Amino acid sequence: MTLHALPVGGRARVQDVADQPLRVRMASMGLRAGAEVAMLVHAASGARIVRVGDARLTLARELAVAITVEPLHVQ
Amino acid sequence: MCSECQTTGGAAITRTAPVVALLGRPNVGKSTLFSRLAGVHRKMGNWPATTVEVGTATITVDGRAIELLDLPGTASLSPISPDEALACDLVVDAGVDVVLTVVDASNIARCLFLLSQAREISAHVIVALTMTDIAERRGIHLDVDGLARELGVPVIPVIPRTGEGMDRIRTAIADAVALPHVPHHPVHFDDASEAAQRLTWVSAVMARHVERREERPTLTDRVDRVVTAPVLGSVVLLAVLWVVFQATTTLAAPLQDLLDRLMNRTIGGQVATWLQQLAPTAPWLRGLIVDGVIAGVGTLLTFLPVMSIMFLLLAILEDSGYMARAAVVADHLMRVAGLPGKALLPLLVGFGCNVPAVSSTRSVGDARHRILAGLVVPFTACSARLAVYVFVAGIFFGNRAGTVVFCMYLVSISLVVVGSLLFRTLFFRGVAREPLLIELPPYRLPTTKFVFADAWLRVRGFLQEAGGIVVATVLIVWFLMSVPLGGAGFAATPVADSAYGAMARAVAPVFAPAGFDDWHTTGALVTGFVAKEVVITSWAQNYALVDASQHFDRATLARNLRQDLTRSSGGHPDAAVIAFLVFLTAYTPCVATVGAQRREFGWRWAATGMVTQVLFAWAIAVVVFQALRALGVG
Repeated sequence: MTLHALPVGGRARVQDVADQPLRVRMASMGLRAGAEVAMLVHAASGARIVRVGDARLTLARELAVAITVEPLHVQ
Repeated sequence: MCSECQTTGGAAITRTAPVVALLGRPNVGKSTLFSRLAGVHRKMGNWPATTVEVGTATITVDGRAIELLDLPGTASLSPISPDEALACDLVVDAGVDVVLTVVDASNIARCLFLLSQAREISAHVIVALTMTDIAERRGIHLDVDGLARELGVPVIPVIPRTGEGMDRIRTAIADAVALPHVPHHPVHFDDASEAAQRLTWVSAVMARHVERREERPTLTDRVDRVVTAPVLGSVVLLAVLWVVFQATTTLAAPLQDLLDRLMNRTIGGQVATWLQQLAPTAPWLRGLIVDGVIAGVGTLLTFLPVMSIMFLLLAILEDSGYMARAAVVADHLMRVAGLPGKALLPLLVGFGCNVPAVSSTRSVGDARHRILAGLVVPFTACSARLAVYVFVAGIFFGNRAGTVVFCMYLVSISLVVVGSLLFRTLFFRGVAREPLLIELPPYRLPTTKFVFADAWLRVRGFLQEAGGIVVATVLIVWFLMSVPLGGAGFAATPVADSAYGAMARAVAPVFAPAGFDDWHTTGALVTGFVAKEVVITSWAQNYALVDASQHFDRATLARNLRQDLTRSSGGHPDAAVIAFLVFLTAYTPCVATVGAQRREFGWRWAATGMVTQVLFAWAIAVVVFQALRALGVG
């Protein structure tokens, strides 16, 4: 599934980040394959607020759909 | 030098003392630490040949002078914006001796990424660890000593707000500058595989020295769910803006009136009487001092209340963390104009007053987007223009006046969108409109000290750098109005026979295709360059309707205007008036705005913006007049 589709409260591991101009930027912010993300808020205009490590990141819809994630089940 | 660094035009420092540079991600408490270290010696300004703001200060540590540099916040040393490029440039090239890296304990992984790059560049790195209290609250525990051993650099927990840890920072700086200067290594940090290695290193360091407890949804999460929600977020944003405007107008308006009365009546009146007695044969001296200098300083001072209050409120929004959320909500809307979400705020501020709006573009971040936002701010119809709309619409459109005023706001909004696209095409063709990707700082209570210091810095900067231009322009207009071309003496001539009148006549034919080839009106537009609220008085002056007590009869002015515009438009006065209002909305709002642009972006951009606006305003005024005339508007 895409990161965009992850429900609020859900956790997931990033599988792949599609190649686009902000890919390196996202990697430097921690959004790269293998990273664990938690969905915090589904915001206005399809933007998503996620926790990556200790940071809260907001990303636009088009970036969130470019990230493929595998949902994790919390024990 | 790293390959991306060249955009800043080769910044360099003239070294007179050891240089300590503060490096850190945005929102890690870097500037608060800088203020704390620099104290009263703190200076802010654009770095030479750039529009990037850098703080500098010369401080004394252990009896030794130290040059402090507060670099722009940067996520990494592989820069993506001019601000980041400058930070990168300065660290690598500028002969920095010590890199004081600010690390946010509550967001340590991301800060370690930047720190690992800094360590490769500089032999002398000190780590100031901020936000340890927030980290503790979030269940993050750091082994500070272990971290220092692993990194091989001093790691000092600080609380800049209270000053805790400052002594240790000063000692560490003194120790580091005592060591021999080691030139920084030129390193390229733009390789993706290298970034991946760095992240692996960060994870390993984190695993050894950072302990985390499982987290629950924080208050920040719960607040964010409300303030960034699709509909509710916009409602909250509008409510916040309403409060900002309400507070600004209710608090600033009485102060503005008070300053105006104080300057023009009390001081101006007193000085006039005084000069009358002292030099009764030199009315020009009275004119120069009262109508020139005092009126000029008065014009400048009337901007102060609105600027101070607006800046205070904006500093509160910024420091509290809300500004970043407003950017999220506004992003989609601003995309229409090709601007980032953060540009919404300056533009909305512009509808109150363009001058603080230009200064508040600083919150936009990326330098090119900031200049673009600063260039379109003048298209927002400020409250001074509203006064002219109401007056003119009242004269010409009677009970349809409200609709006309409303339409002028629609025109203003369209101008922002079209103007932004125009400026992009003209000057920023290569600048991509990037999708929203920002980090949200946690909410916190704004600190009084930071908020006041920030507001004062902006106001002082405006007075220093825009003040001269405002006063000079008022003086020039006074001078032109005083130079007689008829038989009267200097400063005793009717406006029609002055150099100003002659200039207005010379300019007037340019506006023939827009329907207002009439010197009374073009003259008012020239005066309108000083401030838009004086357009109406200037009209009255040009028709010689103003009596000694500064009063004039509105009905007579209306009759004169209608008569002259009917003639100049060939029988289409309404079309000419609408074209006039459109021109008034689009051309340079006032000299104070140009002064603010000069301060923020330099002369070149201020002048470019001004010329483009006037040409653009003329072009659409012509189009509007010709179209309305063709449609048969009276």
